Order: sequence, then structure tokens, then C-alpha cells
Amino acid sequence: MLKVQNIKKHYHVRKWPDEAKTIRALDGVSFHLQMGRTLGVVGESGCGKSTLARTLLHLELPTSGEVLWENQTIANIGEQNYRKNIQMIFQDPYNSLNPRKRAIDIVSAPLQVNTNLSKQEILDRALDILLKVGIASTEAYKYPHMYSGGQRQRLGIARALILGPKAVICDEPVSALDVSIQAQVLNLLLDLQETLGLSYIFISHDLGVVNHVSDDIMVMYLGKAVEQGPKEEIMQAPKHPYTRALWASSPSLDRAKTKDVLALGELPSPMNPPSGCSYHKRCPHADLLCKEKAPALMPYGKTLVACHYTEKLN
Amino acid sequence: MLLDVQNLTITFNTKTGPLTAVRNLSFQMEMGETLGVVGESGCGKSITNLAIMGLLPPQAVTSATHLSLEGKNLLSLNEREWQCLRGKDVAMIFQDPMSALNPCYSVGDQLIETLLVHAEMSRSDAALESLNLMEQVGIPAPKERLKAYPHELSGGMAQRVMIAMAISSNPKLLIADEPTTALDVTIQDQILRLLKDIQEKRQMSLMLVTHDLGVVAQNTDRIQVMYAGEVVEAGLTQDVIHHSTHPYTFGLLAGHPDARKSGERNHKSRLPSIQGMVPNLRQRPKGCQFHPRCSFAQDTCRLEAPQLTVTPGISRATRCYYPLNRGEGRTDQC
Repeated sequence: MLKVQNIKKHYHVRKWPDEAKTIRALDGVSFHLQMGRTLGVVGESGCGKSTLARTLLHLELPTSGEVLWENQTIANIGEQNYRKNIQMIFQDPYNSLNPRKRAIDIVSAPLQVNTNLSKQEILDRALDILLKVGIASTEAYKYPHMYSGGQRQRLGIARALILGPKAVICDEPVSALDVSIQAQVLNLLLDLQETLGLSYIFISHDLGVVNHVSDDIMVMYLGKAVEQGPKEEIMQAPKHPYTRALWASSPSLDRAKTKDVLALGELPSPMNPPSGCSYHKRCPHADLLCKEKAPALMPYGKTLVACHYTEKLN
Repeated sequence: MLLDVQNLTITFNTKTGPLTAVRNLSFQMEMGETLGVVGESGCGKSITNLAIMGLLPPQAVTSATHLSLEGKNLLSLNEREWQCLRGKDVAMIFQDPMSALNPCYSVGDQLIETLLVHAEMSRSDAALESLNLMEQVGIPAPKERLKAYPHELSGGMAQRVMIAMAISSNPKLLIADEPTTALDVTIQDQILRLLKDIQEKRQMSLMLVTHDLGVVAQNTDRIQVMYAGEVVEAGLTQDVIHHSTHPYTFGLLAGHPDARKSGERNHKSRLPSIQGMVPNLRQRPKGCQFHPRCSFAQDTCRLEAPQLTVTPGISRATRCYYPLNRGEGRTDQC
């Protein structure tokens, strides 16, 4: 349905007195999103997850590469039509809702802009979608500050769904919520996917959450995918050293801590990425080849891995 | 015993009436142990810490039958005595290292200031000591980093500096209030390892406050679960995680989308979730604070608040009339 081919987004920044530099926020990412499936995107801050979301929505134009919707370019479909098909849920339910508008107005705004429906029809549809996300019609006339965090995120979901999109980009939809509310919102997202046949691109840094909702997973590091493939493969047998480090360092209820630190140091600045494999400075297995040559994303088993030593390490 | 808190109650006098943020909180901490405090926002975790640090705002009314650190009564201290204690015997690390550091002074200046406040030493000795501390917390090129300003550091590095400042005067108790929430997982792992390492070397007690159950499960000896300003369950970490008896703890754990549980759970199955939300502290429910959200609630729960009952023999306490069976373990049927 949504096909992304070798998409790149470079920003040029000039900070006095330095020379102008290029930030490769996205550096060649490709994937397919099929109907009714969920692609989980995992990575640390600064790895390009949010740039990916913005580029997919055409809020940022890609430097190169192509986003195809049902095999057509966005230029062909038209931006407005494209955005009816793909919508976004934001991370922070406190900042993404206009504090001066009532819930019902927030949710019906997309219909006012995009359709020629009568006022009554718009109201009916808005109330209907609010009910679907668990907000009763008696609750619909309040202002955002009168709702709790979980309810606000439900409003954000309702606003994203009102135009009947086929794909929804969820950018860290539960990370700003309390633990007991997270489960409620995740369940809602899963219910909606089932009833409306939605596809999700689910961006998160929480591996537990991504694992729970995804069909496929893409692990990103400094603007590139280092490993992508079906969830079971990646979760049970991570192949790239970075994926392994992420998995090992994510806290777990049932598993004791591993002895060794798997990722050394910190994420390098995207302004100044290391030569060769961008992970080599943090990788315990890196050698000269990694320093000089960037590995390509190659198929290994059912997954794609970008590492020179995939076979040796597995 | 290092820290002894008995019946701590903290009330704020607000325009709309009194608000009790913490109610009858009692707990102890031994030397060298790690206590995890878990709870949702607004459950009183941070307020309790501020009370132990003596940092509550003036409109807060604190009362307790006993509040002592190493036998020293904290209730009768005046501001001057607090200043001697704060940073020396108890130190704290905050959630956001970037806003906890002063942006106008270099990291070195801030470290030296901390050292000079609590110990009598010359400025040059303090400078040497600060270099030493920077090395201990694993900052690469510490000499250059001492001259750096907070905005020049990454989040992980800034948190390391915060840790260096906190341990500079050898505190007996270190309170870490969500120390890794603002950090990435690989950095979180490094910081938690660093804290553990320092704690072992210095025989320090650590109070780890967090909402992340995974972090608590892997890094603490004992755990205390808070809800609406009360402790609802306390005990040894592994015991509480694997055999929770309070419905709230049970629900939190069951709803945790843990990466490792994927095999047992069906693909995209619904997570068992706790319904509703945390009560408004101005309009607390009658009886058990958790009863409006509890699927096991009976009439007794709605009428009278349960007490924290300590199970004899094992160090385990639950605030529930109908605790779940200990043998039942963690299942997905909440």
C-alpha cells in the first residue's frame, strides 16, 4: 500500500563560524507497508524516526527517493488527497491539542476542511468517532485541559481517524502516558486496527510496546535502517550488534541483567557521523573494515541486516 | 537503620482546600540497600523525596510520628541544619539533568562549589577532587569537560555530572528521582550500571524512584508500590514482581508489554489493563483508594480503608482486604 524507496532527507545547516554542514537525518530508508499491518520503528533519539514520520506525511519533502501510495507518487495523487489516506498521532497529548477549542471542534476540524458535509453530518460523524475511541457524547464539549492524559490521547486518535485514513503514523503514542493508561491506549489502537483495517507505522523507543503491536520491525541508527524484517525473527534472534545491544539494555521484568555492556559510548552527532559503518565506534566487534566501508543492507535469513560480519556473528 | 519514616503525612493548603499528597507513609531503609519506589504520576513519590530532603514549599504541612536519618531527627531541624545535611548525608539526582544544572556556570565550577560548601578544602584541592570525581563517573576526557558548559554535554554526560556532584561529599543516602527517564535505553543501561557500581564501592543506600517496572525489577533489592499517596504493596523485588498480591500491582504487571513475554502472549492480544484513572486527591474515594478501579472490590473495600498488613515471617506488606493468592503468580486474567 505504502511503498518507500530509498528515501533521503538531508538538512543543510550553517552555524557561525563553522562551515555549512549537511545533516543526513534520513539516509536511504526503504520499506513496504501492507494493508492492515503494523511496522514498528525503533531507535534512539536522533536516529531519524521523527524525520521519517514527517517525510511520510509530506510535511518535509524528501531530498531524494520516493514515497508511493498505491503505486502512485504523491505529486500524482495530490497532497490533500494523500493526507486523507495517511494521518498522524502525536507523542505529547498536552501540546498537540489546541487549548482554546473544545474536543468536538478539534475532532471535526478535518471534516470542515476536507469535505462538503453539512454541519449536522459533521457533528454526527465527530460524535461517532469520539464514541469509538471511548469518549461519550456528554463528554465531547469540554476543553482539552479538562481531560486526563489518556483521554487527550484518545482525542488525538479520534482526530487522526475522522477522515477515514488507511494508514496512521503513531509517533511515540504512549510514552507520555502513565503505565496503567498505556495499556488502555495500546488496546484501543489494536481494537481500531482490527475494526477499521488500519495500517500503522508505530514509532517508539520502548521495545516492549513495539514488540506487542508490530508485525514487522525496522531498527534505525543515524538515519539508516540497520536491521529490518518480520517481528518474530528480529525479537527472538536479533542479528545486528546494535539491535542486540538495544535488546539487552531494555529493562525487563523477567530477565536478569546481562553482565557486559553491549553498546559503548553514546550516539554520535548526525552532523559529524563516523566514517564507514556508523555504529563502529560503539560496536565491540568492529575492526578496520567497519571503519572504512559502510555495510549495505543485505538479506540474511528472513531479515535484512547492515553489517559486514553478520555471518560470523551468527 | 539508615532512614526511618513513620506515619508521614504531607498536606498542601491550597485555595480550594487541603490536599493530602501523602498519607501515613511508613518505611525504613537499611545501609547499602536499594529501594525501588514505583507509582504513577501524582502518587506522592517525589513529594516524599522532597520531604526527606527538607525541600518542601512553605504551604506544605508535614507531620510524622518519626522521621530520622541515622538516628538524627529530621522533624526538628531548622534551615541551617538542613543545609548541613542536604547534599552531605542525603543527595539527590533529578530526572532532567539539563534543567538541574546551571546553564551559566561551567561544569567544573558547579562541582567545585558543591565540594567547597561541604568540606573545608582549598580551591585547588577541590579542582583536583572534581577531576577525580569526573573520572569516577566515567566521563571521557574529564579535564576538558570540566571547562564545558551544560549545553555542550549530551543528556547522558550531564546525568553523569549530576551523579558526580551528588556523590561528591559521600552521602549515605542517594535519592535518584527518575534518573534515566529522559535518556535512551543504551544510555539508561550505562547510567544504571554506574549507579550500582558507585553504590557498591561506597556502601551507599540508593532510593530509585521510577515508573518503569523493568528498571525496578533489574536494579533493586526491595520495592514499594505507591498509589494515591499510600504504599499499597512492599516487599522483596523478585517476590513482588512474580507474586504480587495487591490488585493494583498485579494489574500494572499484567499490563506491562514486556519484550520477553512475546512467546507466551498471542500476537496483538489485548493487554489486561486497569480501567479508569488515578483518583483526584481533592476528592478521594471513600474506603480503599483503589476500589473504583479494582475488579475484585467488595462492599468492605468501598466503606473502610484497609491497613497495610505485614505478612509475618517474610518482609511483605499489602494494603488490601482480599489479597490475591500468593501461589497464583502472575497470570493474564486481571
